Amino acid sequence: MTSAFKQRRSRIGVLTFALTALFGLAVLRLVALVVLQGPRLNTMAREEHTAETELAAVRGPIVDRHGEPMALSAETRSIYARPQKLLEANAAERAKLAAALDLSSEELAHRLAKPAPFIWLRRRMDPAQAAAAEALNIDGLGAFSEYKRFYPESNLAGAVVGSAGMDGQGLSGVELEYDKLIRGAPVELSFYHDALGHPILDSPLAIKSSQPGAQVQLTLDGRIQSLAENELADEVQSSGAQRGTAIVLDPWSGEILALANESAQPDPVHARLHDAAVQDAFEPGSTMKGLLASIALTNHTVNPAEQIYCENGVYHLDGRTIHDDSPHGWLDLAGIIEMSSNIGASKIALRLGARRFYEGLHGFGIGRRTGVDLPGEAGGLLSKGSSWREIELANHGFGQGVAVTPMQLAVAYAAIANGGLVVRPYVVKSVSDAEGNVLLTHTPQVMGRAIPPEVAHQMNLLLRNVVNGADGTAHKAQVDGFIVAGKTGTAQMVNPLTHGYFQNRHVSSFVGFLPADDPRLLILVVLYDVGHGHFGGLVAAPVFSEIASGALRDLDVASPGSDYDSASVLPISSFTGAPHKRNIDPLAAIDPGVDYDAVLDRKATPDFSGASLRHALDIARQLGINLDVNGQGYVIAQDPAPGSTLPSSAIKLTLAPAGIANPESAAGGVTKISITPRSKAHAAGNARLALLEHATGKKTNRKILR
Amino acid sequence: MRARQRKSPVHKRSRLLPALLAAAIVVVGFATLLMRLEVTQEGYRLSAVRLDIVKLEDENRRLRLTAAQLSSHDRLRALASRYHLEPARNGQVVMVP
Repeated sequence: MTSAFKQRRSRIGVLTFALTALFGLAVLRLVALVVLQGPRLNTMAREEHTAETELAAVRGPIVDRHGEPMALSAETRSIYARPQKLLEANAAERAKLAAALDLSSEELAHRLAKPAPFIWLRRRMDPAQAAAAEALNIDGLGAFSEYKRFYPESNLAGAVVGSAGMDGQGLSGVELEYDKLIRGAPVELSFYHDALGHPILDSPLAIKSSQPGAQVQLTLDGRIQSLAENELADEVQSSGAQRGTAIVLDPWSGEILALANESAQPDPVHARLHDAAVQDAFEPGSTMKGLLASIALTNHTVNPAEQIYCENGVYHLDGRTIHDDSPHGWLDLAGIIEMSSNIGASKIALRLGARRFYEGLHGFGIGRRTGVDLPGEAGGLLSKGSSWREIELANHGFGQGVAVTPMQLAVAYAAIANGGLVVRPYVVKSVSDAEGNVLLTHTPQVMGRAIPPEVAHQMNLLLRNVVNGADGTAHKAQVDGFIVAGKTGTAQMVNPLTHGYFQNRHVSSFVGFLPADDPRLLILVVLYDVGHGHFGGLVAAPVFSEIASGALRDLDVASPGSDYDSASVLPISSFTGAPHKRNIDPLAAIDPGVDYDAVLDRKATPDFSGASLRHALDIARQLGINLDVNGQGYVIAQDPAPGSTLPSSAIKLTLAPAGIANPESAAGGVTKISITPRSKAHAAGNARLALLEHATGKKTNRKILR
Repeated sequence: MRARQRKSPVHKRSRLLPALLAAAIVVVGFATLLMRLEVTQEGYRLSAVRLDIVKLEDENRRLRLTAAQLSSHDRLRALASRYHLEPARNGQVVMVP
């Protein structure tokens, strides 16, 4: 072996060793990178080429019962800056930026002078305005999209709709109560991006969208709400009241058509956060007498014909003196209600006794929450009857020492209006998702029976005297063409310092319903902190009248006495065929002489004789049949005859003005009227039939229309 | 004398199969690359379309808001009073069947 060969061999050996060592080092490094530092490096790599973002969900809209938007969310742009970079831009660019942001150059410079790496220049801008700033394309300037809550109707129904915070969370009202449904579901999205930051989608399946919030439809009627707020605000100003509340309710279903709170010093923010109608309690004053009389009649404590001595205006009891506004001698129950005698009410309360009075009030829902779907509802103040002293019992009779929320009082009187049932009030009609699928629907819910139907009927008649009687206290509540039933209330305000009452500060109220024959609306008006002499009948009753007139017009409820009537549905009383005879009592609507089963099964022809055109149309609508109408006035002839088999074609009716009995002389052209069987009116008729059955506690021998 | 060992004949391996295999691998690889590029391009297009949808939805919301603001009760009342209009009073509206 030559030396050269040996030398070469040793070099190869060294080289091999070196290469092996290097390889070994590489393997070690690999192990270190993969095993030891692997997770950390993996995370770093992922952070480098992936991005995560949260797709915010849009809050769902809130609309009124007609679908008019009350709250909507829309995209806005928020402009931010990195001051260090932005200060490198030239002065001209910064001046343009200031102009685009609607800021002065000095204001912009002041903001950029802050020693922060990131600052907001303007948040939630109109996108069009923000686009001008973004178009400047200045280094160090950026923008985000954010959703903002808008209330297109300004402060309309602010307390009901409520408000949402900067981060899209509900703070009050329906916005809070239904926040989980309205808020929607945001989506956390993780995606790869390229060097320029553009997202790279690995798979089209990776595309996800946030789930927008559900749409909430309120029971409120925007037009009635607007009317109630305006009328109430006017009265607050003119009467000198500090604030006022008005509630418009469907007494049958509990749907709230309007809920207004107005203040003498309007504060839009506070108005959205505080709902006095459900969160504040007040002493009801004489409106309590309506409930007292109902309870007394239910317990047979007082006979309507009985005379009660009202002590000529001054009554001493338990060391205290109870006064009436004007002296009265002997009065019956109707007189006590009509003239609002405190002494008469005290005597009835004393005769009734604490236990029965307490239980009766509790039955009306006084002292407990109504269950309205609004946050923060108060339960009022009603101490246990067993703790009442004699004078307290007497005072409770005319509404002192008891505190109710306006909503409680409205629901209690709704029970008188609907035949005795306490219904749960509600402001949300339905909730549906973005695709229109209904998630939640509210239907009328009966919470219990306060009084029997016959007592409700008696009270209905008694309360009419308050508005229409010669000595009634609420003549200003009258509404042209309609009979109104209701009760005024004027209570002294409690002085929290002395625990007594202010002499010149009052809460004046009026609660009533109309048309009294067939109540469609229950309206409560309360004015707080009015001066002496501002009785409920003088300040609250006119507001009631104005709201009622407008609301009835809005609901197409025509006066029973008008020559031209709307085609709105009437209760089954129409079947009696008496011209212009409205049902005084829901029970009286059931005519034992009519075979409703046959009529409602659409087998027999109903009797139209004597019915006005509107009544005839109502019957036809409910049965889904066609009419051929000839003439004007009242039905004097029909073909086929009542009780015969219902024809598949139209029923021919001949109408004539009152006093004309000869069909031949009836003038007028022939009008063919088609009625859609499953109309809204039809559904309303069904609801009333169902409630009538609730009210009577028995089947009415009639089938609910399907 | 030992007999000369006879060499077995050498069979030349065909080079066609590896070549085809290599070509196939190249083609498949190239096709995969093209598909991958296409998917990426489609991803960009989908992103753009998605962005358009979001923009249009936002535009729709803004327009709804504008319409609602224009038809708000307060605004209509103010406009009505400018033209000396007021709500109809009782008896001014006649409803006919």
